[in-house]
Amino acid sequence: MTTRMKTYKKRTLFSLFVLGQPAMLLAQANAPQAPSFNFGLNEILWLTIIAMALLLLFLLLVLNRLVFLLKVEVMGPEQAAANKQSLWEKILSLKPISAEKDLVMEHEYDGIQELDNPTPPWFNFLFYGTILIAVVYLVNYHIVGDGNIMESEYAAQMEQGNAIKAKFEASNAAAIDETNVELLTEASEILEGSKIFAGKCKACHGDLGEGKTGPNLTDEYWIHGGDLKSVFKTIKYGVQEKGMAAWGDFLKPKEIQQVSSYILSIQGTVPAGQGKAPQGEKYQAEPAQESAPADTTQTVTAMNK
Amino acid sequence: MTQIEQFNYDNKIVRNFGIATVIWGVVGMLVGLWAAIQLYEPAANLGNQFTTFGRIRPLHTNAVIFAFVGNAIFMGVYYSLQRLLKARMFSDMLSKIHFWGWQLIIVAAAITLPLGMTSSHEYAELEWPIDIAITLIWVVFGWNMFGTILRRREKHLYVAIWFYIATFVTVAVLHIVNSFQLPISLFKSYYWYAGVQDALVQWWYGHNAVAFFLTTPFLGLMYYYLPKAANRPVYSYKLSILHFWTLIFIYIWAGPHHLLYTSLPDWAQSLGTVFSIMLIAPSWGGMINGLLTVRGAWDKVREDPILKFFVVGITAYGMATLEGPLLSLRNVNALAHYTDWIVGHVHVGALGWNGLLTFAILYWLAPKIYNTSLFSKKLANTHFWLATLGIIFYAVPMYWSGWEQGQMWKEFGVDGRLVYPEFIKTTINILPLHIMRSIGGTIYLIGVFLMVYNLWKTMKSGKLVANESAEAPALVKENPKGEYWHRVIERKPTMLLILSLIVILIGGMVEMMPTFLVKSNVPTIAAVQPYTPLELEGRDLYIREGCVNCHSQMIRPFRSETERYGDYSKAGEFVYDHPFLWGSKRTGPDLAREGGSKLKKSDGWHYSHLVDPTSMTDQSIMPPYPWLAEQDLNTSMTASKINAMRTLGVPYKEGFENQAVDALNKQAEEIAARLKDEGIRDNDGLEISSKKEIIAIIAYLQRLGTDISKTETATN
Repeated sequence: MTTRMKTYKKRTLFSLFVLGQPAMLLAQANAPQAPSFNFGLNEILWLTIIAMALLLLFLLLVLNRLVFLLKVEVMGPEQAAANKQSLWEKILSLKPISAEKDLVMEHEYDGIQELDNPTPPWFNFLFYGTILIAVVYLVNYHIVGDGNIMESEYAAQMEQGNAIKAKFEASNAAAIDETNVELLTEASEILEGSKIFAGKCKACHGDLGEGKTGPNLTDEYWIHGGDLKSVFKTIKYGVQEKGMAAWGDFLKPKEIQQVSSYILSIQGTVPAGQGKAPQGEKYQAEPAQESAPADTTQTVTAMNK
Repeated sequence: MTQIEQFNYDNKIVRNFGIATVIWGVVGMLVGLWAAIQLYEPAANLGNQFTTFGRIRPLHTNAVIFAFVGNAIFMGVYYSLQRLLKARMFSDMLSKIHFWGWQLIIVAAAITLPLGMTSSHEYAELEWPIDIAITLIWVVFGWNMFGTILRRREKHLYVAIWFYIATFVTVAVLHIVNSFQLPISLFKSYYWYAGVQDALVQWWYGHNAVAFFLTTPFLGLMYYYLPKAANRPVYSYKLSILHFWTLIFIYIWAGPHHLLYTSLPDWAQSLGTVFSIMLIAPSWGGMINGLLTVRGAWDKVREDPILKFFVVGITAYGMATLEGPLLSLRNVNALAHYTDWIVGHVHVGALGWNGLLTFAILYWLAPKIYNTSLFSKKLANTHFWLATLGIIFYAVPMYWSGWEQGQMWKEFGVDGRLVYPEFIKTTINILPLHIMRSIGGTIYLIGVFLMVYNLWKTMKSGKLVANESAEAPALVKENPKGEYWHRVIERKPTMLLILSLIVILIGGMVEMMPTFLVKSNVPTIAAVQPYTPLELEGRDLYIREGCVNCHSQMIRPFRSETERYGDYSKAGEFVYDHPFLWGSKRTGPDLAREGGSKLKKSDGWHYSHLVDPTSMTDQSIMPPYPWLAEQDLNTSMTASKINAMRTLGVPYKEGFENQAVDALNKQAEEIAARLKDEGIRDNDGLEISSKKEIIAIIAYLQRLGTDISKTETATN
């Protein structure tokens, strides 16, 4: 619970952090891993760009001051001050409000006048800039590139993801699967299994495994085999025609082992007649396959009640 | 010398549209709040099929777009048009038909949508008879407007009227093209287009409904009411020209940005992206021309609530039109699409731009046409602050929620597996934000109630000047020499209309024609077969219940989606989907492969889940659909549905329509038998009858996404 709260909090903080960033950063945040603050090449690149932008801004301010000083030399201080515009007016290429009377156009509509201001240069810059970006985008993807954007992105993602999966599995050499799974009997493992059962299985198989839309799991009859390996396999791959979901994508191998072991631990706990009628073949446990200690079973079923 | 002519302005029609605006605004927003509450408290649907989210969400969107904003447009246009042209509306009779016709259409929508009569195309849900009525009333509006223009006493058309004309002509084109449906009965039809084509047409329409119903008419209104309210000249005539033509030309192309990473061909998606980027400057042209018009009147903004509404509304427009292009970037869209981020985005536009501008115009107009002054400036100020706060409390939780859930959907652990493979985990996480959103909406709505009171008192304190007398010189025949090139267009309304039409047709044609005509854009898949009659009926129930409002059927080519849902969706899988049901929001999980191997559940699971979703998914916020288990499936139209589908190109064999009901019954009995095997009983403990609607919808859900796996088994 606490770890979940922590990751939630972390993610929330991260969201807040990134929402405050410029949009380009937003575009970057779509990384497949959980957010982290690795200081890589990308970040250095960003910092360099920001530093260069700041430097450029500083140079512009210096230049601006120089031009003003030159004006003072040419026109004298009073005239230069009268012509001086505020920074905003300059950025927006606004003419001083006092000049407005010369800009009013001759027509009016229901008393509404229009000014003959030119389209601001920065607006044109923005407009032609976006057109340039559009052209570069199309040329890049559809003339230089093969235009098969989605499929190639997907292939790259899959390659990367499969590599991560493979690496993880290699580092966990003894990965559990249906060929090597072993029965767990530890009370703590069975308890974990019972939690998974309560979250994912009871909807169809009943609170006690007595069967609802899915078959009774407490009797001796099994449709797809009653030994641990078969149960593990049924859970992992599902049985499509019967509507049994394949849990292999939702549960980790260890979790499937826990819930399989739990299922075998509740054998016979629901009296005959109270659960769903038997389905499938009767399964006889081989003598080698020891049953779970009775006391564990009882505590767990008691908990589920 | 020219003769001065006397005439009257019709204020009564303005007043009528104004009252309709306010009433439908309140209704539409209340329904919106109701829908929002259902997203964390499903029982708020009152346990009733007519008021469940899937049916009232379209009611909310239609009410606020076409009833609230629509009436506001007509109110604003009818007042300003007369004055800008120095002429009374062309025909009082047409004005009346327009007014009452539009209100009847709204009432028809308010009745049919809760009844589940829907075409499922977003913002075009109304069934074909209402579509025809909309077309007729729209023609009446255009006729009345053009009649007035032709009888004008002002030689040149002001920029506001350019926008009105572009709105008229484009909405007409959009509505007609997106309404090609084949009727089956009075209230059921199938779209002419299928799958990818249908999606492209719908989002060309959907995007441009935003452009030409929510944006261009309001820019026109801004150009009249803002200079009036601020008593300032419009900042730049040249900018008006540039941003008008570029806006209407570029907007039309941007529709495919609603379909990024779907089965739409890459080239069309790229066009959607780049035209969205190029849209920033034309949109901002409108914003800066508005904001700079207020330049020199900032002292007034401090006191005048009307100007405050204008300034914040226009700023919201600027924010939404910058955000839109950003959301059209592939990587941003990959995160934001299907999430609440989009809901936040549209509400900044709707509540901010359309809402605040409408309020400003109402506060400005009511005292004018009642020849009085506003009852309470203070109350209007309070309304302004409530509205602004409401927008913030609405938008911030939605952005947060969208970001949060989008990240969770994509999060992989160190083991290379999804961290949240179960969708419900990502839903529960954002519920607190949904509660906050509905609080934001409530605050906004309280402001609207203050406005209703304020306007009511204002109207009571004055008397309607139904016919306002005016005078103007008659139009002179001869034209000035050596005019600026655009001034020539401004005095030729028909030319303006035709030029606008040409400009808006280009984008749609370039995108649609290849998608319709070039085969390689929708590669066919041999294993994809038409739906069985039962599945087809189930699909129609899926449409009736509005499932598409919460469930997409479009798995994007991302590892995070194929790990969760199975193989990504292919264009060829949708060739028999009239209409397409890709959806635009994932309140619940994607269903494109609900019947596929990864997500397959038993028939009994679906039965129990539909009757009570929480019985199968703990903490599910999906509402229960018990009526599906109670109502008998109506098969009286099954044969005509098969015939209609064949007309649309679905390869059902000749004569199959006569066996359709038998085939339907057979499949239904098989499902009922499986439910019996699984021990499913209804509430009375009886076996499930094969005649129930729920059987059909189960058949449809189990079919979804399965065809393609048949190819795999066939080739293996």
